[in-house]
Parts: sequence; C-alpha cells; structure tokens
Amino acid sequence: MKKVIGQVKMQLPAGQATPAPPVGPALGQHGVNLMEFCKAFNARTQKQAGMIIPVVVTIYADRSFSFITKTPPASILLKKALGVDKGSPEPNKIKVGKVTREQVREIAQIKMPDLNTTNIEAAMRIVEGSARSMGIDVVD
Amino acid sequence: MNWKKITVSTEKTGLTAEDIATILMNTGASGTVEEDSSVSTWIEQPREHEFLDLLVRTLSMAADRDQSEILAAITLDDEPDRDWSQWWKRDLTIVEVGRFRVVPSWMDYEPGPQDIVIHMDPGMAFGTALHPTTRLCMRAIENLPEPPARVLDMGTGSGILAIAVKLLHPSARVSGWDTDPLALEEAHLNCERNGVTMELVHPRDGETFDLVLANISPPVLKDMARHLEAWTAPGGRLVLSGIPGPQSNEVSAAFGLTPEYTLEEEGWRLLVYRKEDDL
Repeated sequence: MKKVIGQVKMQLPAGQATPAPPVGPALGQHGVNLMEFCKAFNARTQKQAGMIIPVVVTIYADRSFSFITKTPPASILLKKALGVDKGSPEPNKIKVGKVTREQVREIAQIKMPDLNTTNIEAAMRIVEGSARSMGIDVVD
Repeated sequence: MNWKKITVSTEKTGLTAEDIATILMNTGASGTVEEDSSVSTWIEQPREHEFLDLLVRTLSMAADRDQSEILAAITLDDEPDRDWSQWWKRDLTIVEVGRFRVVPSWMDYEPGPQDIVIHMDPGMAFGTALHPTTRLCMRAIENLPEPPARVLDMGTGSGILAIAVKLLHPSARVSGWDTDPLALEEAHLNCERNGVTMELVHPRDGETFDLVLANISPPVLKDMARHLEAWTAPGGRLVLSGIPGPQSNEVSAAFGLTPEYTLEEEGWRLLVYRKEDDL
C-alpha cells in the first residue's frame, strides 16, 4: 500500500529543475531521489520552456515519489500574452496594457484542467478577474 | 556559498500563495515552495539584500501595506550550502531481508556466499524494500517450498519482487504488470540493472501462474480478488500484501480461500494462500 508521508508544492521554471534550492532542501528533507525528480520534471515540461510550472510532489513511505504538473498561473500567461514583465502596482489607476477577449479565451483554455469548471465562459471570467487585478484591461 | 531562506506569510500580507509565488519569481527566485500559510524561496548569499529590497517594495504595492508591515511578514533563515545531489542519500543504507540485500547504486557491497544482491534506488515507482509490505513479500518469496515455474507480479512498481524471484530462482518465467506506465518503465530499467528479464505484460485470459504476488492495497485487492484467484494455478500460491493488520479479515473474506500462513511487520499483514490441486 502506497502510504503518503509528505506532499511538496513548488513552482519551478519548465525544463530547468536542478538539485540546488529550492528543490534540494524541499525534497531532500524527505529523502526523494533528486536526480530522478529533476530528470522527470524537465522531460515532462521541456516543451513549455519559459513558463513557470506549479508542481505537486507526493512522497511515499518507501521514499518513492510521484508528481503532477499544473498549468502555469494565469498571471504568468497574461504577462506573456501582453509581453510585459510585471502587473500594475495600482491596478485601478495604472493600466499596464490590454488583452483581447480572444487572448483571454486562449488562456482560459490552457487553465481549464486546473479550474473548478468545464464551462469556457466561467473560465474566461476567472482569467478576466486575474487580468483586472493586474491592471490589464480586456477589450473586444 | 550559503543560502538565505526567505519565507513570506500569506496571512500577514493578505496575499494568496499564488500571488506571492509569482512575485517571488518575478523578483528573481529560481523556484518557490508553498507551505501551509507561507511561500519560501532560497537566495544565494549575499544576493539576498538586493533581492529583499525589491521584494519588500513589490509586496508592499501588491498588498497595499506599509513596507514595515511587509518586513514583519517575512522570515529569514540561514541554509548551509551542501552537495544537494548527494544530501538526499544521507540516511539510505543496505536493507537486509533474509538472504536478500537491497543495495543502493552508489554503495559498494561485498556479498557473502549466501547473499542475493538486488541493486535498487528509490525512484518514481513503489518498491525499495524500505517499506514493510515489500519486505514481507520478500520473506514469502524466500519461504517458497519449491521453485515456481511461472510467476506473476501484479502491481509490480519498481519490479523489486519480480527481480527477487528471478535472482532466487533463475529458471522461473516471470511476468509483471502495473497500471502506471512509469512503473513499467522503471521495472524494465531495474531488471536491466540487475541482469534479469521479466515480461511486462498483463496476463491473458486463462493464463495461470505457480506464484502470484500482489502488493497493492485492500480496495484494489478486493476488486481484483476473482482475477487474482483465477490466475493462481492449482497447487500454486497467492501472496497478498499492502494490508494494514485490522483490514486483513475483510480482504481475506473477498477471497474464497483460507490462508496457509500470515506474516506481520510493523502493523502490516501478508496473507499467503495455497490453491488446492485439481481433483
């Protein structure tokens, strides 16, 4: 029986995990095979180069492990769509740019597996909320 | 070069873990770790001063709070530099189960005349002999009264049990199966490392084995009871493991057999059945 002894949630750059911190201390404290994790994570995310990937590692009682990767945070996808580095320090007053509803739809489709909905319109509303909080306007 | 662990509280900043992680990454972190009510990153010293200046300013704007409030939400800890690629191995050692010696790949071991050495590292599939359920199966394998000709390892994981049988009884034909494709890949690599072969295939209808091993979990064992029993040849043995002691009766009830014997270790129970010969 695979008894779970720990779970570690991280955000790592796709295809670039190394045994250095944060991976080393976070997983090494549970005795996870770091080289195996890095190799598997990098192989699984190599096609998403440039993205930040949330990953949840589950560690079992015999020190074996498994992991799932999630879709990049909406804020990262919005910034990529916009070509900006940062969100707005004051989203209500200072706008950092605009995205089209079509771009919002594309991001919503990427995020869908991790959102608590199967409805694209509902997913788009979640992404639009993230955009507003970053000072990004959504235009038709 | 030492590291500074920087931890930002979600409660004290009023920001979500995702927001904090994104800000840390934008500030130049190489990754983040989310804990119960905080997010951490590690920065090489002395770069942490510059990192912190920028981090505090960005968090202060995002949370709409004074920089002094943000500073109170940040904890700093020293983290000594280590050879991280080796550190995770620090307390791994050779596991002894009867004649079996499970040896990590980086350790030298001079086997005694009776020792059977299995080379195995922890990886992405269950089965390292560091858990009692695996060790119980290895004891049952060593207890077999005669060498099995055909063996099935259902839920093979790392392949450790199939490898143990093959090393103890080289003439046995061993099959293994797992629903996790990663486990099949690892089992294949581990067989290569140990110089043995096993067929990684699901048993065909009507196929039977002299020994069926299933180190899984009570719900799966119960669901598969009919199949596991059917795959066991008349006169063959069925070994069930992965069972917490208190659940062994309900697992046993799902099988129409009486255990030949049971073994226990650290609260885990193993059930061994001998299927009656055809009359």
